[in-house]
Amino acid sequence: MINENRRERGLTLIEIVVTLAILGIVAGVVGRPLISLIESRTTIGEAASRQADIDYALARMVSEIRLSSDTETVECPAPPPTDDTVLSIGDSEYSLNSSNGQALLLNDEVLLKNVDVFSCEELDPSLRLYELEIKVPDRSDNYSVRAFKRVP
Amino acid sequence: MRLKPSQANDRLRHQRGLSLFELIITLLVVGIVTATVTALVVTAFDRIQFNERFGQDVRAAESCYETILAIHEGNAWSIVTGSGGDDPEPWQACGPCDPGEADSCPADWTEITNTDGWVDSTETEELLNACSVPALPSSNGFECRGVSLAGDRATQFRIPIRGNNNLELVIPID
Repeated sequence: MINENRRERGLTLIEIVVTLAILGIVAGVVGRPLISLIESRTTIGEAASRQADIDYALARMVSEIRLSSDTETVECPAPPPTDDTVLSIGDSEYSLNSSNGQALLLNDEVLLKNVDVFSCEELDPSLRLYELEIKVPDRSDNYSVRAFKRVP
Repeated sequence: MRLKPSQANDRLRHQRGLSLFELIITLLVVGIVTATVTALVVTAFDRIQFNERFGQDVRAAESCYETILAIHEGNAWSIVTGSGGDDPEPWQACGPCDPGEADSCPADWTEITNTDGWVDSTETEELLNACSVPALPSSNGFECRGVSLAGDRATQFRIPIRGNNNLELVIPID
């Protein structure tokens, strides 16, 4: 009889408080690593995507230099007067623009975001050999590659 | 009030809490799950870093490749006199052979540790540093050998990337 009464009376305030406290502790112990895991997954995804974007930007410029025709002049660095243009290959103009959070632009379209430095150097005019370099925040190494303009 | 023996057992069971065995099993399961998840995250980070370094190694090898091609197309090699007459330096340095007799071409690669004298201009010589050991990821540097290209003389270059991966380039001499 006493037992039945006990079952029917429900939970006391102290029992609820203790349960909530235990749940809070468990959530603190399990939740923190879970949040870190989700954050890590996001970081990994962003890093992989960033790497692919940088590779794509460099590969695109290198291919354009290599395969440009005789009528498509490669100007690297682009001569004045040019606002922010660093490299121009025929009609394609690659520039570094701070108005888009320092982005590398191709004909005013964003090709790569968050770029600290983008430079182009003609290593030897007689050899038609160029060197492109990109530096991005949070990375100590520069991304650089050379491109030889093929004889059409 | 008197309890039945079965009720007394139940009460005792509730009150005694977890056994050591149950606790160990729980900790073991939590440990295995944590270790698996941590290993996966660490592997993913390692893979990202490996891909980034591999990409840089490929670009370094690509820069060496493009430089050699530019020097060749720009006719900027030094010309030296060998047994077969005046030839570009790489042909002499990489093991000249008779292209008519394929067997005379070296099967082994010649490791290039120094490209001094391969080109006449000092500026161009500096460009060839893209193929030197500090610029390339492999400590072996790049290699070359004389080959027969459809009966004509040619030099084959092998630029290391990483592990067994290489970029190869064949340039005709004649």
